[in-house]
Amino acid sequence: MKIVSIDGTLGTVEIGGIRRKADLSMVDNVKTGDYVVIHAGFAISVMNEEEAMSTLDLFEEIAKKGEELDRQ
Amino acid sequence: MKYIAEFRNHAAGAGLAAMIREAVRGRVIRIMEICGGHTITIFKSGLRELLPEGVRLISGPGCPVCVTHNTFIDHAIALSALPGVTITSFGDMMRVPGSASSLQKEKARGADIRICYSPLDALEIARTEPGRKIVFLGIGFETTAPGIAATIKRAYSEGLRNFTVLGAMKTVPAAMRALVAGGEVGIDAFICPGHVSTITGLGIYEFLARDFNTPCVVSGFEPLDMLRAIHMIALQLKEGRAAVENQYTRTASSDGNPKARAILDEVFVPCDVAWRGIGVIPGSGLAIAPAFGAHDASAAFDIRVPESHEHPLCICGDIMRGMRTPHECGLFAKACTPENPVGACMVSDEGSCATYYKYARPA
Repeated sequence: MKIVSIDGTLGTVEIGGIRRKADLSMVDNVKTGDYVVIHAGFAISVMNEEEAMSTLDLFEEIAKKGEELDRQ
Repeated sequence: MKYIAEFRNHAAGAGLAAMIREAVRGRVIRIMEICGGHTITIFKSGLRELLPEGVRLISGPGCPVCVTHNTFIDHAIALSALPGVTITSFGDMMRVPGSASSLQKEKARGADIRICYSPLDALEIARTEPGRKIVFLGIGFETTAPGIAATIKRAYSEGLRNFTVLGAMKTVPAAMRALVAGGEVGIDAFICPGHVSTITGLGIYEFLARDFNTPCVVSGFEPLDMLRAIHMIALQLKEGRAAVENQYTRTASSDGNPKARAILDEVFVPCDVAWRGIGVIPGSGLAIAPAFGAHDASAAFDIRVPESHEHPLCICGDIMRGMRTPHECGLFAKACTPENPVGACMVSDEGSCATYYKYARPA
């Protein structure tokens, strides 16, 4: 879920238009706009966007190869 | 939604399936997915239909509700009958059958049992209703336990003596060791739980690769994540390697979440605990440390819980060990349905029987 606002260790997070409160005391250096994994009301992990992009790049490359194979 | 649709791209899925086929080359490989969340992705996305025939996916014991022993439910029900006690629980515990009743049935009979989304909600009830004794049912793995620990610590520092936790928290690696060491189920590799790993890091799986020659890949929960994890496993097996690898790098780092682990170490101590269907696994539980003993419901209330028993025909235990599938159970989709569950695996969304019922029910 995406952090939309932070007040101390309490954050408001959002996914698909649904907002809820989340405790941010277990994650370091979070800021508005970060994506976090929320579990039972606590943020337990901050998404590493660079790693997310590199995983997506890999999938995109595989998808292109898959499409080429389809055309053959 | 950002970072969701991209992980469900069809062409990439087809490409990964072809790569898996190439790596497997007609061999049979048996992979256990520990986490119930992964079981859901496999069925919901139809991954089995994409995979070559030789890839066998076996559902493991990673549903916290399902592995919770009957004794715990019976204990919670006994506490709910005490005057002044309010039981608070995650919603999926409500319909789990104990020996003779369930929390939901007791609630219908008038017991004060309330559903909480977070242990912090239960703490808030303890603050606003100081006259009541609030017992939170603390179940879960390494993912959930830090939040429960943080809540206990807050109750302690605020002096909220009316807040206690009845704990049955468990750690995943001990169960994985029991499964491979038991040797009942041939497991060639593990898909390791992504969110447990965000807390623990990757080191907890090392013994499986080193001592049991079993590849372990931490996976995300989107269909492409899982296909990629299966591909990484297939490559390891093809090359004769066994290593711990991470597919879920965007969320699980190799050293996990040190803050969460510190609070686990502070509030809990390892203990022996009974897993439904597996039995007692030494050191696989998390008990409340003596310093926080005032918040331990098992010590705070002096009650006797009668010996528990399970439905004689329920095979949840075998299903959780990967020995049998829900289709092999005589009760499945007949006497046991999500509306009227006999076993815990039919109750929780993450339970194997509930997932099979939803996505792979016999016509």
